[in-house]
Amino acid sequence: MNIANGARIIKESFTNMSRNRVLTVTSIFTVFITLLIIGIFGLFLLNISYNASALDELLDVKIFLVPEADIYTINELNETLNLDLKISNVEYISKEQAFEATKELFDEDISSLGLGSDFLPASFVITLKDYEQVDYVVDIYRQYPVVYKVAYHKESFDFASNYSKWIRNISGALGIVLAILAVLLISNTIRLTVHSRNEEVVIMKFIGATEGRIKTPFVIEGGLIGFFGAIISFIVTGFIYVRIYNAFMNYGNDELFLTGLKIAPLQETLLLVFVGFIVLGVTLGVTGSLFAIRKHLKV
Amino acid sequence: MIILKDVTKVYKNGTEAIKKISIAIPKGQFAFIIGPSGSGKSTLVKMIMREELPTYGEVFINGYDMLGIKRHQIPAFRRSIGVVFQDFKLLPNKTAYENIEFALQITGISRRDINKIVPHLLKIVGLSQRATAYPDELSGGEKQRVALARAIANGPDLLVADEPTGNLDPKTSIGIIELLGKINKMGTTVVVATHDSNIVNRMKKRVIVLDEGKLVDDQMRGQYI
Repeated sequence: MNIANGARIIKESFTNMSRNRVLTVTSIFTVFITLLIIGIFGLFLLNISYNASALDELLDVKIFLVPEADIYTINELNETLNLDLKISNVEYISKEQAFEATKELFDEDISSLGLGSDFLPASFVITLKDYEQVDYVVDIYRQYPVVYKVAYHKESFDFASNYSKWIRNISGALGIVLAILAVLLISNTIRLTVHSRNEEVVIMKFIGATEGRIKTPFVIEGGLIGFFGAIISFIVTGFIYVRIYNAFMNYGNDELFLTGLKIAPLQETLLLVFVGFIVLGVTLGVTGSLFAIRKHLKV
Repeated sequence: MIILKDVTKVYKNGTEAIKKISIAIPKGQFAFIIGPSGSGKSTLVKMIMREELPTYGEVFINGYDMLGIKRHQIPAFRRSIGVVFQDFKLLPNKTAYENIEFALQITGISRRDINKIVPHLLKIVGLSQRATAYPDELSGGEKQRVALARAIANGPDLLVADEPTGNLDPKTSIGIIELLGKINKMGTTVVVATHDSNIVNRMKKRVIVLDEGKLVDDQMRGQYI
């Protein structure tokens, strides 16, 4: 196919789209809504995984030791923890390290408050292989005389994990339903185009046009519908994300600092959304078209 | 070249449209297929265009075996035949020039060649002055001339016309059939399915007569009686 023929076929596709304007606009709108919803949920999930480190901290169990714990008892517990098969990582934080970390966090000399470097207890931070077993592990180590307190965030973990599971499920289900709807609508648009151009198809057939030459304009039309839907979705999703990003950046320094929450970087995220939308939109469009052609275009 | 060997066509509803017909039309010949409605003319034409396949027997057109032809060979086969319909089948949103041009574009001919071929075709069919007219602005005879120009645009070996004068008055019909004769003289095999006795008797060409799906007569310089 030479350039002139390619340009002619694309022109044909645009002409078809303008002939069935109402249906074309409806199909573009469906792709737009589909991608918008997939995009918004997708961005949410992206940011959740981007904040995985914050979530990981929730999964750590902190075992605080009594102030009078001596080095031998501490070593003994360290060994026991390291040998425990349910535990994947053990980190010891001495009283001094805890004090330094607190100083850094508050960015001021807390020793001026009259507190010595040993006012915080020493602790072990352990990571479990399977967080579902947290209650069982906590119950065991709580009974050690050297242990003063065991702190963990089961509720936060359950909340975060359930929350992201729900978001993933809802967005997945909604995405699939909307994608099917988009494919059906695009297929319907192309079907009507095929019918309105039936005479032309018959003529092309008898003139000796190849199957590809007859079908390509319809496939391109579907692809274009998907492409335009994707562009509009990107503009709207991008606009929303920029607003959220800016609000987060202005707000984040103070209130959000302590939560450790982060937002996925603007440029990389927008690029990812753009590429994802175009690929998904064009795929939906072409799939819809192929459905219509297979069912209604007899070459 | 058309060869039909013991061809029978039975439609899905049980209608036997063609009953064991054998015909050979050599290259460069002009042949009429005549017969009353329901005689099987249209089915025969459709089999020549490979719109229908025989239920039994063999059909060879321009060297292609209609039953054995590969899917990817069909466009090349169709380019080797030109087709003219009773209802012209012109694209209403294209001018006479563009309708002819369309047949060339579809087969991927360059713009430079198209610009040479289309005016030449318009000249052959006597429509050089009507190139920019849309089908709505053309008379029935002019429309059929455009359809003829389009049918021969890709230089087919065979031209098949299904009732080409069915929608035309007698005077215009004669003009069209003379044009078909002119195309035949240029070397193209011409097959015309018709029940217009005027044009058949005027041309004095081969006449193949069908009745109730059977071949009942085949005269080299036949008459429509």
